[in-house]
Amino acid sequence: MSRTSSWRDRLALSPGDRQRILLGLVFTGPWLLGFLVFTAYPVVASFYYSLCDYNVFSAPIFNGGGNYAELIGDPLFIRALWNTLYFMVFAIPMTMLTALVLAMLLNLKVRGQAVYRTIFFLPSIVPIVASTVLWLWILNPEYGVLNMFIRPVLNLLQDLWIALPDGLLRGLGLDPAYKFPPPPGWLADPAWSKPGLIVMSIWGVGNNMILYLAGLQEVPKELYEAAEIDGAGAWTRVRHVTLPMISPILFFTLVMGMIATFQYFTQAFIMTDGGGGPADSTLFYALYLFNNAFIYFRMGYASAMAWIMFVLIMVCTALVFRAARSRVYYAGG
Amino acid sequence: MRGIAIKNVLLGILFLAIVTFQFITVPSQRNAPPPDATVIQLWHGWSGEYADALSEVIAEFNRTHAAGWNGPASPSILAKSLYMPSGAGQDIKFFISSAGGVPPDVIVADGIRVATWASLGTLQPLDERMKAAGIGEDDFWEPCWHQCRYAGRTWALSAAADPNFAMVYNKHLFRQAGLDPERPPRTLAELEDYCDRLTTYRDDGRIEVLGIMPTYGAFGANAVFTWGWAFGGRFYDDETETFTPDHPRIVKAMEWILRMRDKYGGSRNLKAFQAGLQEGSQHPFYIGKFAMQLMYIADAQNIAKFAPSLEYGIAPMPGPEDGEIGSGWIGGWTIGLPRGRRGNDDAAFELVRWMTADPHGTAYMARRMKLLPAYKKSPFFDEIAGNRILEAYYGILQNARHVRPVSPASMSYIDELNRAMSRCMEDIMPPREALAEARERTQEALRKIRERQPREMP
Repeated sequence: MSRTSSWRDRLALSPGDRQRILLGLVFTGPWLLGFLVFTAYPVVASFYYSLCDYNVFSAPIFNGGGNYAELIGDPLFIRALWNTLYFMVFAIPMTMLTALVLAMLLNLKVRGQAVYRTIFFLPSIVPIVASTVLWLWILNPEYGVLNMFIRPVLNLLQDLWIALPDGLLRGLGLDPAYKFPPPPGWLADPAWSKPGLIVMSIWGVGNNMILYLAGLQEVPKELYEAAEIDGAGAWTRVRHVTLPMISPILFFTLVMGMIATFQYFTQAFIMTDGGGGPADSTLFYALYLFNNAFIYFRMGYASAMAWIMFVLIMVCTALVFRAARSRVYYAGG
Repeated sequence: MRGIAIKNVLLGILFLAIVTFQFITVPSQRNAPPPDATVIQLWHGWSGEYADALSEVIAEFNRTHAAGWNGPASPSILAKSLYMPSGAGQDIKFFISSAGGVPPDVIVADGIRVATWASLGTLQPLDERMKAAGIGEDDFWEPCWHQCRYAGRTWALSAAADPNFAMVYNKHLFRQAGLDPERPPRTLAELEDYCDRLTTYRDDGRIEVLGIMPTYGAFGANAVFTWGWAFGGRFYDDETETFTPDHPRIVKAMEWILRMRDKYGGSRNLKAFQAGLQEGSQHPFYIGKFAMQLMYIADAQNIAKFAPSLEYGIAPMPGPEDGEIGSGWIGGWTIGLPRGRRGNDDAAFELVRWMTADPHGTAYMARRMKLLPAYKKSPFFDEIAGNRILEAYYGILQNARHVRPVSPASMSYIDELNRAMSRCMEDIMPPREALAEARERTQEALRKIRERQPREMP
């Protein structure tokens, strides 16, 4: 009895408190309801379904870890995982580097600075579907803009090759009869489809660029001045002043980039009509998940994939956090 | 004071919003149906000019189903159509609406989906209604009927027979190559010979005009079906529910496709050529990029519209001498009644019947939508004499023996055949292996479905 009363005592609320709580609940109620119905419930339900055979129309049948066991033996699942990791390893560093270089350039005090900033940010405003359809044309192997630039370069190299004396090439251990390949087939060629998508992702670095730009402007001028007085050159200043000072932002974009790559879907879906072709070379994790859920109606299997994705993202993020612990500098932290 | 002012402003905005909303909604109320009309909704996957044509078809249905259309007491039916992108998008929207208990009254489905949809319980069997309306097996072309039947019942009716494929050829290019424009190739050997003579290259070795691309027109899985059947292959055994994509004749067909590919510069050269091709008015056959091509009925009928000066011939599909010459299979659209809809089923079935098995309805629809009815008795077939395109496709329809497998695992089958085709074209796997893997994966998909759904439906 005394316990209950002390519990009550601790929670003793004045009428004013009660009213405030009630008011708070009324205001947060719609959100709470939405959260419970549209987020919390699906999360819990998807975990249960991941342990079931479930096709939406009939009641789920519990099958324990069956879906997870099957996934391990599914070559397409492995393929999708491989495609996603490939994309991650190349796309994230390349987009981060491009964004950083652009941000540094756009941080220079030049005429028309605002105009340049706008131009480089513009691609990020274009809706993803529109930009993907645009890139379908840019990457067209025959008439695409990209190959229009690559083809003359390859032709020029070929002409140079022919013009160089055979003896010189042979002396360097090169084949004088070497034929340069035609420009990449991009989305029509399994070897080039992922690089094509990576090139496309670099086009959309505007968001990262803006973040870096904001970070660069926060770096205290005194640090640069001090470094300069100590005799630091441009590279040393970047390496030892700029990068450490914006390291929290770099870290943030790295983690967000990783999560986004696991969820990479729209571009691949549109470019390959949902098929992940050619020859499964663009079958990314989220695309295969989607196909299982909505083409084959294997909701249990797809839910299991979603949970594995969640775990993978958690693990990757934890690893990155651990690796970055001593390399990220939080001012005032 | 200020608080009150803001409140007034907000109230003012709200008032204006309500007034504006009234004005926006008033005009649409003017078009409201008569109060006693039964409103039914049809979901379909036709876009562009076909969507426009469908609106005309629906308008004609509504015109002929005004109050009193079936006896003085019968209320009018007002059908409305809604476009759902075909393919995965259609499945998703339809399935979610079904799972939520609010499907449309009538749904148009690609024939290959009927068995899957039926097995999932999203369609109503139509047999009793058909019996009452006097519609039966004899009213339809056999393959059209077959693809609507699953587990001993009928789950949809074919609105369009899509006879695949006729081969169109460019007479001008035939003449240029010294070939007789009135004598298209019949056998596979002839086809290859013609192809050699018709294919021309640019100075840099890229293809200018291609004789034929076996994987164009019929794409991916459909190319496997089309050439597989032409070579005498068998894809599925209904009795034992066995998929046989690695049937020796299908492997042979695939090997032939690859041989043709290598002959014309290999995958890379063909892809570069294909990458420049477009659909619609710039269809490669219309603009003289293909000398010969397998073609869908609608594309063939559009030649007159997009390339009126093109001189072309139309012929049955060539095939190997020990296979099928003039091979044909039936695809096409079917219409069904989703399960779980309340109340409007009679009117909804009337729309299905009118579009699939009514003399006036089928003829009207065929004329507008550039297709052939699956309804054998449609008066439309009396109209086609003299139209050589329709005559050619009618010939295929009368002789077509094949239809893609009717199985709850059909969608997986299509997917796996697409994958096998892609793997072969990229030289990732030889045909026998790629097709064997397609068999294993499809059979496994069916086994999983059968674990929970017995073959005989309750």
